[in-house]
Amino acid sequence: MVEFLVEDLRFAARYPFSSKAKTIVQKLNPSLDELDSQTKEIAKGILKNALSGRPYAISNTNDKDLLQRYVLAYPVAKIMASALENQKYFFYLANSMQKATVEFLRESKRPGAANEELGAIANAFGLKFSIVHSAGKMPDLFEISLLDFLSAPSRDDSLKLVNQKVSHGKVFLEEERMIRFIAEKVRRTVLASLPVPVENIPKELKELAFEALNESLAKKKEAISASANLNALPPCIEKIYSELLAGQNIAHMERFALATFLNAIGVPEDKILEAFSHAPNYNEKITRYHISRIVKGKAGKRYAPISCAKMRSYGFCIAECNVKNPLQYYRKQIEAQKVS
Amino acid sequence: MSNGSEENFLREKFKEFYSRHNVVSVPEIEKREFGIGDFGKKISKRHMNFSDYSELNIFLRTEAPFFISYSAAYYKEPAARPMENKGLIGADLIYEFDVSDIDSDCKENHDFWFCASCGSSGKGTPQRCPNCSETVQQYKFPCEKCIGETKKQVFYLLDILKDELGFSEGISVNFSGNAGFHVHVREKAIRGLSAEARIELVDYLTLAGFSPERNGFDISGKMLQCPKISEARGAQARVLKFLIDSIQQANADWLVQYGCISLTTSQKHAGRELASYIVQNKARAIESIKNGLLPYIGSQKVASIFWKSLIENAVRLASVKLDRQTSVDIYKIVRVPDTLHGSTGLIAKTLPLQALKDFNPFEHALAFGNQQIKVFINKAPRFKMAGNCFGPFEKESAELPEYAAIYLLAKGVAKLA
Repeated sequence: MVEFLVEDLRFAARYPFSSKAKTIVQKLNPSLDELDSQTKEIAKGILKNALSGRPYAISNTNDKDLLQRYVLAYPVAKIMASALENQKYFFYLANSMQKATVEFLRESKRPGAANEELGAIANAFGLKFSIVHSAGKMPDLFEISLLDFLSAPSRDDSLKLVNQKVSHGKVFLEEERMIRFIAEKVRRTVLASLPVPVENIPKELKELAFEALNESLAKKKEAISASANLNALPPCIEKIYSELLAGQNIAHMERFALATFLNAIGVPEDKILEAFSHAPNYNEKITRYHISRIVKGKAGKRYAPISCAKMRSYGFCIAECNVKNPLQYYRKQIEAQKVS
Repeated sequence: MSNGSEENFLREKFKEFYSRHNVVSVPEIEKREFGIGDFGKKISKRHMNFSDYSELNIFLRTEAPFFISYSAAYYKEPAARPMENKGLIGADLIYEFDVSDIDSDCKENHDFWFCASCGSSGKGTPQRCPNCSETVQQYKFPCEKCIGETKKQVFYLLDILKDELGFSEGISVNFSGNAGFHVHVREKAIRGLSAEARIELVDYLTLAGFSPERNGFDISGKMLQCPKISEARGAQARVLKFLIDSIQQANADWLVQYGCISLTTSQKHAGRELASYIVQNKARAIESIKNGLLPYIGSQKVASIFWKSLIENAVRLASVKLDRQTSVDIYKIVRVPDTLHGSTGLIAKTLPLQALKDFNPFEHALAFGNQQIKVFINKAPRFKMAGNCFGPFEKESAELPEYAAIYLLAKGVAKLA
């Protein structure tokens, strides 16, 4: 019988993608067929939470058995997500872990003292950093190398390199930005670890995965579609749209690309607004203003969807579709669906 | 504008050049994809590779392509197709500058356009014919002035690469052979940067996505704040410097023009008063900015709009004017340094950094000699090469030194007479 310290289990449960958590799972070495129902329900809950756009959450407990179940449930949740066989659901899970990391690391802040969990997670990613003490009331800064910072580029404006203090190959981050940078690393790490092989998984896990999907927010997209066919979206727009519905912060140009596209394919203005209501920093007045300008145009100018060349220059293009404009892809898909 | 005889003539001249010059400018040549171009077309064939410099130079001497480019990327199998099969190992960073991206008031003097549809022509380089709206042919003749403005951007970039980004090794600069420069960053540490990371770097250089609020420019409160010069780092420091410099050089008219641009009619009077106040108390205003406060008198609302406009202008000035689209593409191919550019006959010359300041492509990138060649020139502005002035020409014959004749033939504005 393997025994773990409660603080190790607590850390592993909060950060189940960490090497500490992996070590615990390896030591427990459970068989998928022997998982208890509580662990499976926790795993389903993790996936359902993620598909609903919510952060991963654990109970505030020191119960070792329960914490251990959370640690085991995470890889099971990954198996369930993989069983859904759709990449967009991997984004949902990765985003969920990212949001949770931000919350947990904020909770572990200590005024005037080092954030130990932040240090532990940074070390787990092999990130070397030092603390630069500032004069007076100015906050201390985390100094990391430019190349380490660029290992996890983010669409979050607060994490763009152009909005950081940079000098001689070093980037200087206040604690909050360091937390969000680490969370972005988490998101990428989780995404890169999916899908996992699912050939021989117990049928029950696949069933639980689809139950989680049906019960979650993922179905909401159909309610937003109205006359447009949201199954015909080009990959670039599909990705942005999925991330928005998952509650992830998307960059300004991505919002513009999505809004102009949805408008062009006939999604009504109020439904476009509804989609954007999932953004973490949603402000109805500002969003309504921008969407209205796109829908109605400004001073006779209509906002056309962004071309593929421009999507590529912003780094939004994720597939080779052999079209010049995402709208072309959509129309081709619609035609192809009519024929079939 | 040219037929086969010009093309054949130029190709023979290019062969002569390559028979006298060895090109050894592509590090780890065996890992690079190459592409070549024909007369009038920069890329007509890709997916080529050379195992060493000897093979490359034999090719140049026998085939004398009008354009030859190589990949920023390193591949396991550079000649494989499609791109996914090449086995990407990593890529250099390459930043491209072209005079067409840089403001210069001389362009109307030397660039012109021609519409093949309706026969109209004129100065400058519009995209479309003002007469019939068809796409026009553009003819650009960059001069020392616009090349000089482009060089300033290169120096600006080099300073940022070193002082901010910490890239000091493996930096190489070459003239593009036509109207700009390429800056290569080849240090091994950057080769593994993802496409997203490269876009972040380009955004950093061009200030795309720069948020004044997130960079310490806070004009929402009673005190209009900016970063202190002693604490500013990176992009915020650049913007602050350009803001201070623009105030230093400004007169009241300039401040009114740029600071009052977004003020309503009823606010403009207050804006003009603020502009006058700043000009009359310039030293104190600049000292205040250096200490983190944007000075103002009168209405806070007017002042915040005024300073917002000046900050936006400083961001525009502080951005590096590089070619964004070519600078983010990890799979692109760029001119092989020290080869000839098929649209000019000039050498895409590698420049030691200390030689950049005095580099004049129309003196230092010439590939050909003084032998006189007779050409018939459709149209060309006055231009200078090797210290000699030529033109302007319009539908006339002239005997020109080889370097000037080849320049016009390659540009497609002249034929052999």
